Amino acid sequence: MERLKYVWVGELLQRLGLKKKPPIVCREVVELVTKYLEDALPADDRTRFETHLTACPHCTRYLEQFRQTIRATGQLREEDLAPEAKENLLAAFRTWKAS
Amino acid sequence: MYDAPRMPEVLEPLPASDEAAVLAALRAGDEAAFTRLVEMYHTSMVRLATAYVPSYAVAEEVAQEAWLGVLNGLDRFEGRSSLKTWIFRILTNIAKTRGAREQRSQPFSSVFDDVGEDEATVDPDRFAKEGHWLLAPSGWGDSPEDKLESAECQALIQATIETLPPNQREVIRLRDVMGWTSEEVCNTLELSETNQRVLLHRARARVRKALEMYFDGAGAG
Repeated sequence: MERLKYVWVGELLQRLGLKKKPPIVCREVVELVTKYLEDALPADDRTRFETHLTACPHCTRYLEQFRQTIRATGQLREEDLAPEAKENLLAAFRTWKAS
Repeated sequence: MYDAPRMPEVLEPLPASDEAAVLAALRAGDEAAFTRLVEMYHTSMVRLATAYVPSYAVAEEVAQEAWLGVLNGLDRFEGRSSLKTWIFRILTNIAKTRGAREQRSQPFSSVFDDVGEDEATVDPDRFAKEGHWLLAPSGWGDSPEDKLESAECQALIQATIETLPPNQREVIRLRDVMGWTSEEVCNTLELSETNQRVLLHRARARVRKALEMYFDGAGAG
């Protein structure tokens, strides 16, 4: 209970900007990449994230590889439509049209 | 496992301005307009349905049934969502009902509701106790883009996506393969933004890891 109170007070101070959050570490950065790329990080976390990157070539590389992964995934193509499926659907369309 | 991917022509999504024209054409019974829609969406609809039902054959039936729902609902479509989102919502509704009827071992509602345990996407052993890298990612060479677009890499990415849990698989497919927005995916799959992002992040991390192993093996570092 006592500990909970300290956590709560700490969080309150952070929100009021009276206590700085600790810098984030690599292990946290790798979990925040999608949130960062989606622009969903709160401003202060975004700053901490970017500050970390300027000092960490490994996380910078991780982020770059994530971006490359996304781009490469975007190159995938869906399969062709099977001719039977298309014929079935067109038959259904004609029935619908005639009804 | 499904058939290996082939390379069809790229079908661009409909611009919003075209949507009214497509709707009018469909309502007037224009077969070409219907064919175009089917060519754009049917394969992805079947794929998405596989996340809810036990087999590809049933997924195909679900998608066919969804098209009937689309045709029969055309007069009621009010354009409050995009035509695409509306079509896919019809699909997921039918797929859910059908999935429940087919009695999968897993309750159908949990396919997308349950994002699973909060697990690390990078092996914790790669970090020191304080959280900095011990085994940092190695480089992928000067310009890995060509390699990433090679048939070999593309097949690897495809195969990796296939091995993902269905919810991660469909989220990465819709977001990164099909290029949907997070809003479209959340609406279609009835996912919160947070859960959508968690699933997407895990899926992307798995694909990155597969590529990392590929590049490490190829000695490209």
